[in-house]
Amino acid sequence: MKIKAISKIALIGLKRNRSRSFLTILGIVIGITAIMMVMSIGQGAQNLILSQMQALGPKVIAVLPGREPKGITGMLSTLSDSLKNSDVESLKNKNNVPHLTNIMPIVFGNEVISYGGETYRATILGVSEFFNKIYNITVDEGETLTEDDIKSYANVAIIGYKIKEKLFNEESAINQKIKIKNRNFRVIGVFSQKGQGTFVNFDEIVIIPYTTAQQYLFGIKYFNRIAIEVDKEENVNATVEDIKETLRTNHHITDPEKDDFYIQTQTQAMEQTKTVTNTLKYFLAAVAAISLLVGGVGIMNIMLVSVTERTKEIGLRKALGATPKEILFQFLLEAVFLTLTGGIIGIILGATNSLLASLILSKVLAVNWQFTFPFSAMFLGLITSLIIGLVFGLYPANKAAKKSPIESLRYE
Amino acid sequence: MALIKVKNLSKKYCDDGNETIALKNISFEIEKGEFVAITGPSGSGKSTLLHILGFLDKPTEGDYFFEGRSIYNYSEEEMAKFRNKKMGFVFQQFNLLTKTTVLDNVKLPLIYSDVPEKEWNKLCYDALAKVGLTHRLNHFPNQLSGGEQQRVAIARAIVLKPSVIFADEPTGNLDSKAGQQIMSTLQNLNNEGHTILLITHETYTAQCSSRIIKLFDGEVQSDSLNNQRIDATKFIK
Repeated sequence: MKIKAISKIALIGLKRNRSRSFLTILGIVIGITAIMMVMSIGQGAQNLILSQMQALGPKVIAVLPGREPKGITGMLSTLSDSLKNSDVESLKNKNNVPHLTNIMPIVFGNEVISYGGETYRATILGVSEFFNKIYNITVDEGETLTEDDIKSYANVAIIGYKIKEKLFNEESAINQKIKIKNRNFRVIGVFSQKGQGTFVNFDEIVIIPYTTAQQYLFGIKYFNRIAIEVDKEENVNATVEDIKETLRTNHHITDPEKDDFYIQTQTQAMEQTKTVTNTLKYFLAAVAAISLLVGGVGIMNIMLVSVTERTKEIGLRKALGATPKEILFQFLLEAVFLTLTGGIIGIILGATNSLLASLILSKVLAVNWQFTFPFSAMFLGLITSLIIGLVFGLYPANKAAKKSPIESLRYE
Repeated sequence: MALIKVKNLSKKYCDDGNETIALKNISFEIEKGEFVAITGPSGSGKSTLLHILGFLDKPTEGDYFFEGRSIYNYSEEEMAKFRNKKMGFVFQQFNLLTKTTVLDNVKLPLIYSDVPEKEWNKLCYDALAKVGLTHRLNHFPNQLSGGEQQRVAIARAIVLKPSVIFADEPTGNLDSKAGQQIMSTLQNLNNEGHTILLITHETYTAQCSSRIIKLFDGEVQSDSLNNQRIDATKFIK
């Protein structure tokens, strides 16, 4: 069989009906474009979320009060007051948690802060001197919290990049007094720009000693969260077990089902996020794939019309010696050319649209949105369009191949 | 050995339970190099006979030997290959592909042959030279006269140098002058050694052949050599 010559015939057949061929592949183009965009933008979103989670560092474990939230009602339990100072002391004990290097209790709440006439509602984080190290954040100017600040219930604050801009504009914030809940705090530092983190936006926080926050701002004796840093990444899982055991002993819990705390590690959180975003991504891609099915039916429809229109040509080719196989091949090729062209256009459109979307999202959301070319979606798109051409082209092509040459030649 | 041998050949059609007999007990032989005309009124079975002889249809009874091999020994695939290699077809309606150039129309049988692609253009040119149309290579059929279109079709039929050319009313759609031209082309090909079998109901066209088989109601009425053969080439001049 002359593959090259028959391919040429198939191409000529398509060129003869340029506008019809174009309209026919539109369904495939739209389908592949949609899949490409969903995959590319989905990947971009996933990367963004994961990169922010990574900022926490793989060696950090978070202990949270209450039960692990499972559903909407579970969220309320974050208000639990189960994590106390005694827990922090027990966890610090090398006999209980041998791999622990740093431990930091955290309390937080939203308060209005003011400076001069300006006010701003910000997240107040009561933390310890390990904050910068654990969250991998540096101060732009000034200094950070010290152990003394914690012990002495100091009224000092380090403010986020955006808060500095809002309250002080061009002025220096260092050593200025800001008011939080009618209490004066001296600004000792300003954080460098960092953006959204796992649970707060670092540009909109105010950091004060947790002791001061507990005593004077929130009036509580418990912690909202305890961050623990482990010496080595491979010790994270063992340490999680150590922490559980220590806290169960402290809280007199024998049944793990009744834990009044839960533990999050970065790996675990990232795995969960990945699962969720992947599910979403593939679900959307599957929805987009439905349009491919519709496009395939369109191809089949047009190919059937084409086979009927060209009955006489088919009869002639058969009389001149084309075997049924060669006729089948010609029409199958026409269908595959159509869908592959649609697929390639879809891939190009999908990639350019995703690139544009990533540029717009970066601008609008002011985040570092990375464009990723979805190679997997590209191969998937190419293979899918090939398969659609084969599947939906087979029936019309088979019809053409089975035509009787005599009757076809008589067809008007 | 006869090129074509038909023995007690019959063809029946069954349409909605009504049996129609198209051909009854037909026997004849055609030798290589003959120019045979099959004539008869419409409905006499000419076309059915040509379809069977051209491997486009199979008989219901009797046998047909092409180059000594029975039609029943060919698979559908082999019949297609034999049509391509050994048989050339010329139709009343020309059956050229309208949006394809003269050259590409003549090329059509080559696509389905074993001839290497690099020889295609030369074969086409040779075939078109025989019908005197080499100056029309890149024209489209609708730019040609009816006679020229039929000559393109003849070029297409002879491009693979077949054992036999089947012509189904080749002058039926042409005026008498163009018809004469076609007949002179066919006579020239016959003089060069091509076997030609043509179907016609026109007396003039039949008279151009060297043997006339008359069909009536699906049976051979007469089969005789044509002693008053018209030389169509003379008329042209």
